[in-house]
Amino acid sequence: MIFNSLTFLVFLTLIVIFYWLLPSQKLRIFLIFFSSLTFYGFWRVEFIPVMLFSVVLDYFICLRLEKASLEPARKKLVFLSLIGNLGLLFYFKYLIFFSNTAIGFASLIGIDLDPIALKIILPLGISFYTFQTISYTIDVYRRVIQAERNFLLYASYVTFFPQLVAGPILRGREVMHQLRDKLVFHTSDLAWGLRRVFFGLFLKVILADNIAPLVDSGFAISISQMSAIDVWTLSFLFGFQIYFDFSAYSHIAIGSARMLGIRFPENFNFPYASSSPRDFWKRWHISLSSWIRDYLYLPLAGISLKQGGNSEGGLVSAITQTTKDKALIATWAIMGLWHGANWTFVIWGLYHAIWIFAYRIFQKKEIN
Amino acid sequence: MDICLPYFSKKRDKLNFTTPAFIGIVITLPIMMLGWIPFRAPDLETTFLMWMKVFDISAYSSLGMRENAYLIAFLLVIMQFSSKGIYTFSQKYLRGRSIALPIEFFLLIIIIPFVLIYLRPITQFIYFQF
Repeated sequence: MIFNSLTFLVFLTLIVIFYWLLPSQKLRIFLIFFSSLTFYGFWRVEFIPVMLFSVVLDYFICLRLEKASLEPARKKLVFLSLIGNLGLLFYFKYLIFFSNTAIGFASLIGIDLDPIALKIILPLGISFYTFQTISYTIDVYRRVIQAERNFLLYASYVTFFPQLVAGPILRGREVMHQLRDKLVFHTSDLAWGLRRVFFGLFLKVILADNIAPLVDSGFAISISQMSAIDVWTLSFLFGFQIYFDFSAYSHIAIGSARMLGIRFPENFNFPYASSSPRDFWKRWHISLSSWIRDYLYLPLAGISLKQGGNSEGGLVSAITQTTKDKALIATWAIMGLWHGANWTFVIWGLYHAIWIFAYRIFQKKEIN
Repeated sequence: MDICLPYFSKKRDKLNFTTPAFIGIVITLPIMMLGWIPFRAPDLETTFLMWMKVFDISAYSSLGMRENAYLIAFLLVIMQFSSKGIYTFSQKYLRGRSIALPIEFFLLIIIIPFVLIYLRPITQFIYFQF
């Protein structure tokens, strides 16, 4: 089921009505969980077990993690979670890409190998829900949150349909307490949510979908016939298309959740009004940028986190600039790969790493 | 002049001067937009060829796309710059005031029929592929 369909509007209306009619929070969580599975199942039922594997794995690992007191045992459990989740992601998203790359390298040194004849379908939203379960496990490991004992509540947090397939990537501490508490119906929440849903749909169906044909026809022109002005125009057009498209999804997700009384953090904040590359990444796909910063960049740079578990809680830093720079490059290459199993995405990531690196140098000079 | 003078002045450091936000936006926007090329291009070769075109002065003399593409791109840039201003204005002067409700109602009356008319589950969201 996709957001820009009448089916979704009917589905959302029914869920909102039943949700507020239910007398207890237990029943509401039950409704959220099964409606989320239904939402996902509309696409492909056979991939529900894949998602549930990730959910169940981290549920039990976190329960064990909370009981374990010895650091090596705790680290082993986190490692197990990473192997399970990233293994799943690797198989579905990267196996063919890396095997084809390896075959390409082998042919360069004169070894001819046959390409793997696998046809793997990428489960919808796998990149998002695996990141969400990983963040939950790491937060439990860092003792930022406690492991949730109520399986349905935890599973609802991961599979919650508004954010399931394209984010925002939610942290446990942002949402789980809202699912736990019995929320009171406010017409203002319903009206606010509905406005966001329609605004999101407007961005998608009126703006993004009408820019798309221009972008498609532009990229169909052969490079030799393309002028520099065409390249600029295409990059701007696609930049706006992806912004309207993706922010539309976030608007609809935030609005749908709000209609159920649940508040999501904002995912975009006028990114094209950014005054620097670093500023851009504080405004574009905020939930992913902050995820990457807290769970990838800071650990890679060797920067530990104080109380609070995120960089807002303060940083303990005695790290060399070289380590930070290496971490920056590695983080952006991984960020690129997260977006897609293609070298173009790695280049996209490295392009941003270069500009952020350049901005760091410029900023230092300006401060000095 | 107020912006430029301190920048070139010897007293710049004492004034604790930093690059104005507007200049930052004007520089950042095209950099970020060019960054989308590898995101959309089919392969690395196309990506680099497109990037190289930008630095080729002789490639600025022709146009290969439909005319309206340039116009739409230009209008989107204008819309982008004005939207932040409109949002800030509405938050500052309209929020919580009685006039906000009819304005919002009017906007929804325009938006909702458009959405319902054009609502077609044909195109997936781009981020679904990730």
